[in-house]
Amino acid sequence: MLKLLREPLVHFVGAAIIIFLFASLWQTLFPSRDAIIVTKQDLRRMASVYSSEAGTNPSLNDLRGMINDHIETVALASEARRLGLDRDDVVVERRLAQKMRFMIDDLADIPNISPAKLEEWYEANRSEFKIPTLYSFNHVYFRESSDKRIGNSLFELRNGADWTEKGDAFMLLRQYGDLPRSEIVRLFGANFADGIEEAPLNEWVGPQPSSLGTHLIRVERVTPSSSPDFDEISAQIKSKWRDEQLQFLNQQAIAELVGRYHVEIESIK
Amino acid sequence: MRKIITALALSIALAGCSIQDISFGLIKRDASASKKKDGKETKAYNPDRNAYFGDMHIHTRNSFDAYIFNVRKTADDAYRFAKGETVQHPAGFDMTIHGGPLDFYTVTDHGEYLGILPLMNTPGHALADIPRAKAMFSTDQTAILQAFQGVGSSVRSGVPIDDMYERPIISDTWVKTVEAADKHNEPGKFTTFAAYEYTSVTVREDEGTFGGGNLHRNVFFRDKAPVRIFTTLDSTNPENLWTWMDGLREGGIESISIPHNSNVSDGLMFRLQTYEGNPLSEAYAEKRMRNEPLVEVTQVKGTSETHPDLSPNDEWADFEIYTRLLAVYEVSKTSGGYVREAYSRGLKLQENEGYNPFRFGLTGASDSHVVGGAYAEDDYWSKVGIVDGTPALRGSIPFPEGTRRWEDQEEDNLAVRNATEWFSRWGASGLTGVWAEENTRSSIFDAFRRKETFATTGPRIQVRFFAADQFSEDILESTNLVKQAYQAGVTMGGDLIHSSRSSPEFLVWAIRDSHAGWLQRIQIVKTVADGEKVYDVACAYGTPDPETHRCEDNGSSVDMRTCRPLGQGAADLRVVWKDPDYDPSRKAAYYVRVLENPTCRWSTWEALKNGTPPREDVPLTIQERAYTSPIWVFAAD
Repeated sequence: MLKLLREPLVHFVGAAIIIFLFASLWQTLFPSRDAIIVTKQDLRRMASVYSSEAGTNPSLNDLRGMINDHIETVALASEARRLGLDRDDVVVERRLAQKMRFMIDDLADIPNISPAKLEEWYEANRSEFKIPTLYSFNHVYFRESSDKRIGNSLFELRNGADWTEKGDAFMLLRQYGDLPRSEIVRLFGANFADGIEEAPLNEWVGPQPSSLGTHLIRVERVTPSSSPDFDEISAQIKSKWRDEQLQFLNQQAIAELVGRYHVEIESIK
Repeated sequence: MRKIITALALSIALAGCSIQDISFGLIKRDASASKKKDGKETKAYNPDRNAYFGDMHIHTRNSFDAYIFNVRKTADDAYRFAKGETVQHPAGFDMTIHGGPLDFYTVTDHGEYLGILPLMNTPGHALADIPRAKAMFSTDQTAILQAFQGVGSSVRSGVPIDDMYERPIISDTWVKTVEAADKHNEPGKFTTFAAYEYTSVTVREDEGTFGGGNLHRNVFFRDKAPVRIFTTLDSTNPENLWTWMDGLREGGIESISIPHNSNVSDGLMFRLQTYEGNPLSEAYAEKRMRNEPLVEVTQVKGTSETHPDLSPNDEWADFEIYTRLLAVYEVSKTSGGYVREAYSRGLKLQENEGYNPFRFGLTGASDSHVVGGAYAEDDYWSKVGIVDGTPALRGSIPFPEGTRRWEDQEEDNLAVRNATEWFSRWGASGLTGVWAEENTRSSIFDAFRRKETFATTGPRIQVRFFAADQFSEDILESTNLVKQAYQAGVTMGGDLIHSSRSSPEFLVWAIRDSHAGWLQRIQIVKTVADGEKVYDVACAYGTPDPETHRCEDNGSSVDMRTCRPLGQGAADLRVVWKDPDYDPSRKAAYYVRVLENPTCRWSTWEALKNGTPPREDVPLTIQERAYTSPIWVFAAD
């Protein structure tokens, strides 16, 4: 036992216990405190916020009030942080994420690309630059589907009558060149677009209903869907490539960040 | 980091020249952006003019009151949205334009502190070190609000906040905004303008509160644009804005300004005094009309056509009325804030004094602060950003989300109060229609000048309006109706000098939007110096009663369980009309209002989707509508 008391390790442990007990006692008697330091800058900020609101400089009393507010805010905030309240707060989290996203966004340097490489990229992404099927057509409009002139007009038009003189006046155009289906749907509704797609070339057909009334239609030209040559739209291709790169690099930066974390998703049940 | 360094380098470069140099500088704009190829007409050129639809009132991250509500999208994103691409709302969901791409679109960020807030929130930028930046982008709600309201106060008072007012950065942001507009401008396909918002708000002197009258204007440049823009930090008096625009015009820079939300101007937009309180004059009227040929009559923050108190005999006057002054709960004064009353006031001045400062045409816009406008009742996202980005926040369903009954809302909650006072009363509106030969800057801007414009509350209703001494008898049956109408008379925005003692003839023609509701009726609203009258002139069903001037009920309604519209309406209404009360001794202004059948209001749609009852203090259904610019009729002497 005595021999043990002479061991240096025991001395060390003993000393440690004594120091620990003393420190605990000290802590209980005189608890240590985190510092809240109100800096000169803080004071200036408060004064300037005040003066821009009130139009005058704050009095000593105002300043005292603002300092107390500030100290309370800092103390409450750090206490909240200590309790981990910031961790479960969606607002705080979103705001931090947004700050971070903004820092990441558009910071990437986009490498340059050679014309040959760009052309290669274009070939791989041709579908994005596709020009849809385009329709050119004339039509004669009747406000009422029950209009007795419709049948007669169709007969006359097929026999070469002047189509510009038939039917009712129409608010939009009576002749359209190179419209994609989406535009036809926008102007006349989907059923009319179906009618145009199914109509034979260069022949008056109908009556064809639309969301605006009833029509006789003649499709004059259908230009099949195509994709333009690289040279025709190289500037547009380059700009689209750049946009895509930027988006990709931003995503990559975020993915890289996410990759630093171990992600586990628990099942709902 | 690269972006920050570029921005710094630029601001240093710009700081090298004085304001004097900047104020006379022109932005170098790519001529190919605004000019058509080889000066020829574009493919859809139509001498009888086509209707083009657009929204000319859009904010991005560069507006101080957008950035603070988490809007981070750019002008580039705004134009992509208008062309049909999907863009994200700050609350995280996708926004896609309803009804297909628009023909024209214009970003109008607030000129005051343009682009300053984003830099105040950019770590490492000098502006991020100013005390206000620390407060505004802290996590302390009170500090944020205080710092932000300070910016609002400065915009209102016109007194700049010194360490925030970086003119070179404002000019730099402005130049970039114009560059984005130019990049997206495609003659024949898509038109943009160089534009910004001049953000004047009065202060109620007697009460000393934050509430004041909205005197905002959007300024649009036809082609050339100056490097330095004129904002309320130069002067809060809109007449000084016009003086600046007059000066630019002398230097060959053509522009117009379009005021909006006269409904919440505290009665000041069309008051019979100058900004300083002096009597109006001929010079004032000419200056105003030279610079302000148009007024925005409908947008998210309500209708400025008329108010039920001003038009007690108009059964459709109580439509999307919004009365709260900007950012407060106080109610705006009614008289002086609505365009129909302004037309009467203008005619009275014309008859008594020989001048008229209120001979303006009409436009509509969204005023979206999230780069994309919400024009459809069944796909609505309001306009501010994260504060009104969900149905619960805008009060269409009980707050907070998940609450099933209205009586379970906490009434003293700030979000609930804001939804009740503000957001639930806002609406899914609006668009501008113009009649122009082709979709180019010059053609559309010229239509603005002619006032050949109409406003809609969202749907793309098309409406023609002509007046003549007399049209040919069979004009409605003629296939070239429009050509004949242009030849015989004047169209919307014009003056008809009428020579006969009997009424002139008015030709109105409207068609529905293929993707919106049926038309119910066309009305002509007549204003004279001391009165107004609303006439139904064409009905979906039958003809107007000659005594009451009202259409028969067309039996249209809405199935409230599904929001499906019931009953038929018209796709195409056209009529030639004569004024039964025409008095050749009076000057008069006539404009057209087209009404759709009733459809569910956005708030009803959102309640339906949520499975909760719709709120009771807003209408369940609305009748979407279009308004044309007036035609003024004067008897020939």
